[in-house]
Amino acid sequence: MWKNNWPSLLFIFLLGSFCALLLFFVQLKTQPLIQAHEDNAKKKAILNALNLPENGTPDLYDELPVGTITCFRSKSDQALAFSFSGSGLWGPIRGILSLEPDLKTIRKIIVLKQEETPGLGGRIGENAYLTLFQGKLFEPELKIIKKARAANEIEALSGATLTSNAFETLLNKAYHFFRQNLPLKNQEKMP
Amino acid sequence: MKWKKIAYTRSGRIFINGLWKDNPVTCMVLGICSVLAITNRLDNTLAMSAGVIFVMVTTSLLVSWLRSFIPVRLRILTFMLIISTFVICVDLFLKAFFPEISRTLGPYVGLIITNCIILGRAESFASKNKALYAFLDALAVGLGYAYILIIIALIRELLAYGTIFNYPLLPSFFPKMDVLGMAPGAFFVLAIVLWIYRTLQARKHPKKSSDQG
Repeated sequence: MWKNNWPSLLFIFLLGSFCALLLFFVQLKTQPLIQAHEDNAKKKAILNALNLPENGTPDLYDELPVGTITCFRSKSDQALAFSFSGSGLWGPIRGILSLEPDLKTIRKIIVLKQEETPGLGGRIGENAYLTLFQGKLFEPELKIIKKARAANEIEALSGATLTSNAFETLLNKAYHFFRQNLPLKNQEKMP
Repeated sequence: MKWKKIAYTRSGRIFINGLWKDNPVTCMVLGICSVLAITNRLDNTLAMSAGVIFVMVTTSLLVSWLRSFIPVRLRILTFMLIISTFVICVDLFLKAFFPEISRTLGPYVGLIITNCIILGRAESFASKNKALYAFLDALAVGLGYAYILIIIALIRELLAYGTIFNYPLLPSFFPKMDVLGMAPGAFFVLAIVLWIYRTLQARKHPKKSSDQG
């Protein structure tokens, strides 16, 4: 078998190596630019989540280390924002979550990256859906369910139960991680 | 006079076929998924068309150069390998230099890989012809794809948002047809464009249209 097929295999191997090399160089050239765009988008999202002007400078907020992540505290009204990430249905979901100074009410949720089904789960990236989260409570636990009534419940996306479940899990996980690691000192400092 | 002569050379015929007689969208009816998905704004459409033309030309050239080496049994695998490499290049390029367009196009840039026009031309033309003709064919078919998309996008953007290139053109009292901005609206516009195109074509080549079925 090897005797007859080796030219084909060699061809595929050479072509594959050529393609891999080409992609490697394109990636090398474009990566810094892509990274810069992503950092910029993240900075804007943090400012937006804290209700600060989008073209504001980073000195409008403090950076505090919380566990392994960084938390951003607005200097004007002590609201907190931090980034969350986790797996959705098809791929990672990343974004920024901001809390009111009482540390349990959601101010804003911004999704920076998601790969959910376009038109179904993909709607978690749309502002129209994310505004539903405003003012909802993480107490006792955030719930994304059908027929949401209570202050900790949010209407799930129809046709996207698995995405809704994944989003619920990863938000709660991020919140609990944040609360557990938040130094008590900071909590006392905030009225 | 000169124009008529060009139309009878091989290159001229390839161009006329790609743009008019065998237009990929209206005659082969391929690549419809992307037509429906990204024609709601003209800037998206131009980015997508440029991406498709680039991938098509580079793939056809490479396939044509390698055509005597490509193992027959592994040819689809080879085409897919080449196509996906160039599509990823386009995706990275858009992400680096046009992040805004890349965000709105979303997964559809990656889906150029599954665009049947590119695989179809690689299989049926580039793997059997010289590089020059493969290049011309890819360019002609790519441009044929692009101009139909641009026509559809012009209609949709103007009627759905009242703008062209995000520049307001229609007076504000003109009703905006939101449905044309959504994917279902694209079906209507595509069907109407197809109808007009086929009618014009049947009028110009009456005999050919009957055996085309």
